[in-house]
Amino acid sequence: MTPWRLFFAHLRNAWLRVLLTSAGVALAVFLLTMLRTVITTLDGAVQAAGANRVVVSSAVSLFVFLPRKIEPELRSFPGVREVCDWTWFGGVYIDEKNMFARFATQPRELRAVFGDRAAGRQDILMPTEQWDAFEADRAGCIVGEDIALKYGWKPGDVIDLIGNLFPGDWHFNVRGIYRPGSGQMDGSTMFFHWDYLDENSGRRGSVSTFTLELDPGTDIAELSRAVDARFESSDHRTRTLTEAAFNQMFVSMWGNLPLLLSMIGGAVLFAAFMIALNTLLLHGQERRLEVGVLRALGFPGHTIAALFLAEGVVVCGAGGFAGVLGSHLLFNVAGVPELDRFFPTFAVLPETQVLALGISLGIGVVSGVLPAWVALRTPVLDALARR
Amino acid sequence: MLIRAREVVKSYTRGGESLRVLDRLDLDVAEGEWVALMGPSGSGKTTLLNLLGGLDVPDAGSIRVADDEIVGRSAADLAAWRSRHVGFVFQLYNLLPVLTAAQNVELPLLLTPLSRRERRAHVAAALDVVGLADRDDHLPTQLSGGQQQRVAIARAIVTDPSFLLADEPTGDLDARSAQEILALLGALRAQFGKAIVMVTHDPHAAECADRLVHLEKGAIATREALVE
Repeated sequence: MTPWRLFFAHLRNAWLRVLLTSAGVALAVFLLTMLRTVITTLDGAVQAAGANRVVVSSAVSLFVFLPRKIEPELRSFPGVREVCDWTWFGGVYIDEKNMFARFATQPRELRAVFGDRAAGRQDILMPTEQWDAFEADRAGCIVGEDIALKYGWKPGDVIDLIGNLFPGDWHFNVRGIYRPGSGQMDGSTMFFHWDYLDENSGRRGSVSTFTLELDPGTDIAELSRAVDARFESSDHRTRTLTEAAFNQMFVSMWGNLPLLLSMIGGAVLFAAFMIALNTLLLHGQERRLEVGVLRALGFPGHTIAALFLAEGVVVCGAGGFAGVLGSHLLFNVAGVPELDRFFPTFAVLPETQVLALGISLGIGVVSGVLPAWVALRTPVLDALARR
Repeated sequence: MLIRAREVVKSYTRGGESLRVLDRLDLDVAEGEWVALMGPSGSGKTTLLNLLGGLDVPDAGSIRVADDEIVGRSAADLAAWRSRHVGFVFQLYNLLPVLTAAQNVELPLLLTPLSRRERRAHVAAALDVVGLADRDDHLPTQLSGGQQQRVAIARAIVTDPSFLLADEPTGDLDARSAQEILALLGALRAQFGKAIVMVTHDPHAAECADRLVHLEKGAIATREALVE
């Protein structure tokens, strides 16, 4: 039988050391989950893209507009079921800190591609009467549930924006509050009528991008080549990408951030590992006599190793659990507004939590095995003689 | 004969040189006999004690305990054998400081199939034998040197081993405590018939034994019967 009383006695006796070591691991795991969540959030946007959608933007830059008049031409390509344009509005809501995405679009088309009239997955979930109200009100808008909750908006409210890309004072009537239906959509975006934007900004007739929804079985690569070839010689050359590739382009704008974050996370974890290992090794050194006595009394090596292993696993596992719990409470329950501005769908995934817990337990195993190995390699007589 | 050691050889390598600590040593210990080992430092008495207790293995020779050969066994086998047959009493007590007196005494019983209730009963009996029944919940640091050695003796006898090995059990105690420990060992031998092999530098302690064995340079120099 393993003398577990010894294990508990050591935890109780060295409670401060146990607490500090666990706290070190907890902090490392907390940082790891946060950094890992940035990566999964960015990756999630790519993964959540619709499989049968392509995005047409200017070949020059994402910040260069395309003329809306090419829409009929885009519709004419074989395999194109629906076309929906998006135009980045920018603007300021009360204060520049109140950052959320605002797009002008065609409500009917938005509904047909992403809403309740979509052929496939619904990325925007909203009651039919709210869709109808949005379509019917030229100055109407819909907002995601996250910003609606944050700013206390409800249908019938008026949102005042100060234009920057499109100067002027803009007033929008909230006609609906949507829930995201997939990872492709977040709950922090505002959509309003492109026509309202166009007639109040001097009839520019321009849009940022077109999203083309394709019939099943359409050759996406062939269609993309055909679209870009059609406008190759015009003054508004296009770049057509799958929705996934388009999302990936946004991720690429962060540079090699995922790699950088992975490296930082790895370094933090390694530091935590070294701290835990060093602490437990020192503790093991202090317990040489104890190991000698146990072995002299006849306790087998694996029983003594189990004591060390349990200590490592409990100390690091508790730290890992605390780190995961902390990140869950902070990011998934309470939320961090500063992060939400950049990553509206920022949430620690269960697989990230499992990974972080697994890593902390792994650190515990190694941190327990090594002192046990050192202790058991020491001859009994040397341990008893405190050598 | 309980212990029969024959032609025991043990060498250590120190600084690249081989040093023979025990040289073809023979020793017999009868059931219930108390043998004191004396000799100058380096004469091999503690080495002999460690070999008899299975804490170390000889280079050559035979050690039989109750007709069981212990030389040549695996480390795990030897550990299991120790737990059943040997009670150790160390000079510096070697109690675990994080455990109470009762918990220290209970440690060897965790290697037996006894239930928790049975273990408690054994621990209480052992502490009673050494006169510390009322100190069972004390930590070693809350006990005097003599009391700690008594707890160590209780730990040594709690599994009812075949014999006790005591390495200078009074070496760290004042004269009065030393006398009490020797009296306790004597009582244990008389009451339970335990054989005791004791290493000591103290001639007064050695006088308590039945037989005195002097070692010099790894061999027995003299054997002296102290009790008829």
